[in-house]
Amino acid sequence: MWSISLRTLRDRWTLFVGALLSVALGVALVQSSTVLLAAAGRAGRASGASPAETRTIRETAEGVTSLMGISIVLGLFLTVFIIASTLAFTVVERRRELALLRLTGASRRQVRRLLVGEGLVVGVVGTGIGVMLGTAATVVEIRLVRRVGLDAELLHVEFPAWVLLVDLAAGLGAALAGVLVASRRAGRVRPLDALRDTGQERRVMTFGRWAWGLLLGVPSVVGASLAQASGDLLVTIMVGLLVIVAGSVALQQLSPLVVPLAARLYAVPARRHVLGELAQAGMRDGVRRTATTAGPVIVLFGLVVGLLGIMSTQTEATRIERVQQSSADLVVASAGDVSEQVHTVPGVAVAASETEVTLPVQVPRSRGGWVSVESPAVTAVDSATYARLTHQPLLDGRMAAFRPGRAVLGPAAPEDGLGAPEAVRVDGTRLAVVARLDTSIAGGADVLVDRSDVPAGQLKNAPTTTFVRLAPGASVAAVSARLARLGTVSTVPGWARTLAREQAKENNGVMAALAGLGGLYAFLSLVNAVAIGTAQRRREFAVARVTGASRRQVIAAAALESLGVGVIGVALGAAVVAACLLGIRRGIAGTLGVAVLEVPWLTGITLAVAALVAAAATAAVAAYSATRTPPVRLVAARE
Amino acid sequence: MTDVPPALALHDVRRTYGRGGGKVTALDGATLDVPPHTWTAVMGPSGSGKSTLLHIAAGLERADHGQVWLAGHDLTHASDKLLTRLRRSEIGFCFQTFNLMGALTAAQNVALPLRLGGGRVDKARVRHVLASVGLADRARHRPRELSGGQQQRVAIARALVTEPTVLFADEPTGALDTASARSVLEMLREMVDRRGQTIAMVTHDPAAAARADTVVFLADGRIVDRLARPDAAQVAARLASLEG
Repeated sequence: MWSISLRTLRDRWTLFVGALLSVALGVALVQSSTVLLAAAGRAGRASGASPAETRTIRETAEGVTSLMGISIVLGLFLTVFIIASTLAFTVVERRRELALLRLTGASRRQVRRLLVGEGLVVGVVGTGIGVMLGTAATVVEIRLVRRVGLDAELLHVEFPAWVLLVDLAAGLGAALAGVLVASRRAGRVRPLDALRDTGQERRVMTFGRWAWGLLLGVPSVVGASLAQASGDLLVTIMVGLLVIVAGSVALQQLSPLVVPLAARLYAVPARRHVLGELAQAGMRDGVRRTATTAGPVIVLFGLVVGLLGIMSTQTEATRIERVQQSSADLVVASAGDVSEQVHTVPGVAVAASETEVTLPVQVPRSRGGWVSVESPAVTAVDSATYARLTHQPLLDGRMAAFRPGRAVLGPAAPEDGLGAPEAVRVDGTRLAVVARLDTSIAGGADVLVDRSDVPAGQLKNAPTTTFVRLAPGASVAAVSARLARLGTVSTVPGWARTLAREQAKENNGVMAALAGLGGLYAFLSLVNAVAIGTAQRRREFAVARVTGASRRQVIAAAALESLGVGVIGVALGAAVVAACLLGIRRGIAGTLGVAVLEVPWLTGITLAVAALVAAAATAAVAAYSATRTPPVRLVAARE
Repeated sequence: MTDVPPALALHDVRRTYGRGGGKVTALDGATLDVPPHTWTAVMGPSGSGKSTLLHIAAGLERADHGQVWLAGHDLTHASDKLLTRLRRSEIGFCFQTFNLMGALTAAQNVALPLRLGGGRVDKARVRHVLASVGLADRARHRPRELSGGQQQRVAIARALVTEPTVLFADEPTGALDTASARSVLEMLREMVDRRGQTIAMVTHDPAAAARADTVVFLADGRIVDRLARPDAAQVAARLASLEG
């Protein structure tokens, strides 16, 4: 079977280009990410640096680790997904050939081995290409890491030899995992299928599709309705994530049912033109082809637009929360502690400064003794005025009891597992906890301490935000002008907007990396599906041309069909996004009292247009090449 | 001939497709013996059940009722494993569409059943079989580089390389021009006469059927008539009476 695998690959390489490229892409990604991850790991253990440097290095390393971690998981998932769908598709297209092997005496196991052999070759060759691509990808990733604000200079990037083993494992693993489903399907091809003229497998909605579709689809629908009933933000965000991931994959699995159904909607406009009618008939008839085309579009659109929507909605909610919780009139952003000077400015009634500082924090252990908190976020504030300008809901305690020598647990404390201790140790000093703040959308500090409990050196040059309330009758413009020499002055809404903009920039950077990656895969699998599907329609096209269609009309109908399927894919993806974001909107309304819905229109529209252009253009090119042979020869030919 | 056990025997075979209103009876109690070293042609109007008969006889489809014996094996209850083994040793196929593997050369196509069977491929045997169908000089060509008649010869060589008990042929000349068809039929006749090959063939071409030893006529899923040593005119007349 081995040599037949090789010969098939050589003879029909076009069927495997997509799978080969996705293995190469996956390996490239794994390799470059592993190299960066290894560098981040080493950086985390770096010694001989100052505490501030160590912290920056660690933060960079953590940033790189989580970004690369997500890329690897996403990349491998997409690789397996594409290989599985491509090879399963080639099995359908080669049904007669496989049946013929069975007819000639091949056992089921031999046919399965043939497919696995093909998968192995694709895996090995793909890994080879991937290693070369990966070296280039590392350079690109370092640049991306820098773009999202992480400092790549701090990482010392090397290329250890064991990475090659990781590559090979990833490439072969992905190819073999992908080939499993296809080989099982190939084993089920019956010898008699060689003699039937139905080139296509009749059952498109396989058991697997039903199982996955329902397994993921039902929780998505339940989750989306639950989110509407819930008013808790955290719950709705969690459910939202589930809905976009499970929902898009479920729709992708169920697409042989959903897409032809959606295609019926085209019936009325399509009837007005013969090309539209041809395209619509093709959509309803070529169920497997349309499902394979719509699948990647649904997943791409759902995941990218959904994730970005969650992020931007969260950013917007954070902005609103900041404005809601502040009763200040002005905000001064300065490099270093300026609270003393702010107090003396005429027209300032109340001033409260906040500075993020790096101090070790310990919490008491239940069995006695203290345990250190991992990377604690400590904010130094003016304990006397903090609560007069920032109004956050409390879990327990009294903000009025906050003064030097006391501490307040911040909104991030519950998530970071600080618990509800009676006291904490900050920089070795025991501070009694007088209050615990409730979690917030913006997140924030683990521990709030008074400025006087922090070594002066830590505050001296640290970026500080000072909230200011004006005295009755004081002019905003006049006070702003006086404060301007201390730092950048803005109103609270303006300050919240600036922070939101910065957050959005960071989000977009991360999404650019992930969406770029996911987009590349989705593009590959879309092009692959359309190209294979269209190329197999040579006879159908020939019949259409013999019936009187011009070559141009045939190409136009194929492109139109592909475009229509793309639109359905985008619409289904958009439905998933809507279910997710509407749930989160409820959650935010329940938490903030204001319904927030931030739809990433620009990204969504760009992505949709790109997918549609890719689908239509690929179909046109494939139809062009499929109609190159004179139609009569194809119609008359038996083989 | 009754004292020799038949190479292939069908007894009261029934097969229906579909259910309820769409139910179609393809075979309705067909009984047929194919003696060894003879050529039997099955004829009949469209929809008479010819193809179904051939598929069931070759173990590609299962009968709803009745029995099928081939080379001493009961095909009606055979497992997929046994059927696979029989396809490697006792059954050969050739079809109207030649069904060659496009990626393999003529010689590789012919050697395929041997390799699938796991044995060592005797290259001399492959060469010999190719030569016996007149294609000794085309061994390294791919199917697409061969003419229709040549492709069918490769397909027949592939079917015969395992020296099967029965060669099943489904319209073997259906896609060929008259000259190619004549030479393919000539070759099949030689296989029977010289090597004692048993052939079961379905056709609607009286000229092809006339080369067989026996022609049986199928109508509405039953064997309704048979002719021994027929000529083309007799076959055509009998067929016309069935279709009329």
